[in-house]
Amino acid sequence: MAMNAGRFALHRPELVSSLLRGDLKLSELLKGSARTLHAGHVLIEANSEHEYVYRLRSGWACRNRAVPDGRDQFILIFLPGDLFAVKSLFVTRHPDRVQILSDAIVERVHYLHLQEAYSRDVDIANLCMWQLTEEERRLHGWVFGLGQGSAEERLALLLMDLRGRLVLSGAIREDALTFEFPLTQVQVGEQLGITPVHTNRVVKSFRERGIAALRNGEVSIQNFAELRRIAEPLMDEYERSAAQYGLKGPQPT
Amino acid sequence: MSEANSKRPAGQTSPSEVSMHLAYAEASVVLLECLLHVLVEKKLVSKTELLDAVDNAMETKKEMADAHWHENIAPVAGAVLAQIANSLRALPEDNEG
Repeated sequence: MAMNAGRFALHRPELVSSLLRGDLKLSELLKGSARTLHAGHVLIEANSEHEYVYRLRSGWACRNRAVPDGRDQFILIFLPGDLFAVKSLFVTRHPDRVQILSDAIVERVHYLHLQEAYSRDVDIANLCMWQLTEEERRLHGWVFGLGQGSAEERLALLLMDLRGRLVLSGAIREDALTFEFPLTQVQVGEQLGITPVHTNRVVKSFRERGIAALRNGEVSIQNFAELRRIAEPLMDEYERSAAQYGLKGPQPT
Repeated sequence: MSEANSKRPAGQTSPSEVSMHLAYAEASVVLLECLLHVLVEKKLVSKTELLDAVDNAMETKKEMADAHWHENIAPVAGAVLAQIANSLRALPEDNEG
């Protein structure tokens, strides 16, 4: 999967060529490791030792935390092109579960193999560091959303974020307003930090107001400008300025 | 329930009594939460008052757990109430009555 420079949110300009080279070199390391995994497959068990770093070629995955009293929170959603479980380079155990959300093609590299490349090749090291920086940016945004955002704002941000990232990865066209959305409403609630009842009401409200419709495994954005208006208070500086998040984004026809 | 079973075609089984109780309990919580949203949307109850009520329920449940009432169920019930409370906090502020 080829990367474009726009994918590296808020990067220092002088790092672009190194990051692009790092991506090509990583592709070499991952070569031949692709395998198909089905929705629901648990790739990494919570609180387990794990030795691989992954990249999604297609499909969706997530990191989530479930506790014995039944509460479950999505932490991050991974989309095509995302490198994930990079922490395998640095830590022995993964505290949270990584699960496949839709049928996916996943590549992997053993941490020792990547560690060797990381220590001898600054391009690989930069790419790994950038991925962790990008995850941190997304997590900071989501912490703000969970702490300060209403359920409507959170759902709007989720849809804007997913669409923007799918455009950047080349999985959908820049003017696409409909895309695959494999999450159930219960899973949407687990991402947004609200109950299934509340999720259902917000989803229904978006549909009835002609903002966006989630059905049959896809989302259709009907009023991009309104969706962005609702999401905007929770968007970070990068999302406010990147074309894929709406400043020059598509308008309904 | 056994009377209802006797009217079913051969090969079809009805849910067990436990499943029926769980289904009614789940349906009750879902219905109650829907009604809570309606109350706030219609501005009949403020979000703050609603959260106070849910906090009250959580505290009661905790007291019951501390008194060893339904020890296995109490933490899960408490988590359900905590989820509802967190979710209600995500209602827009201008919906307050």
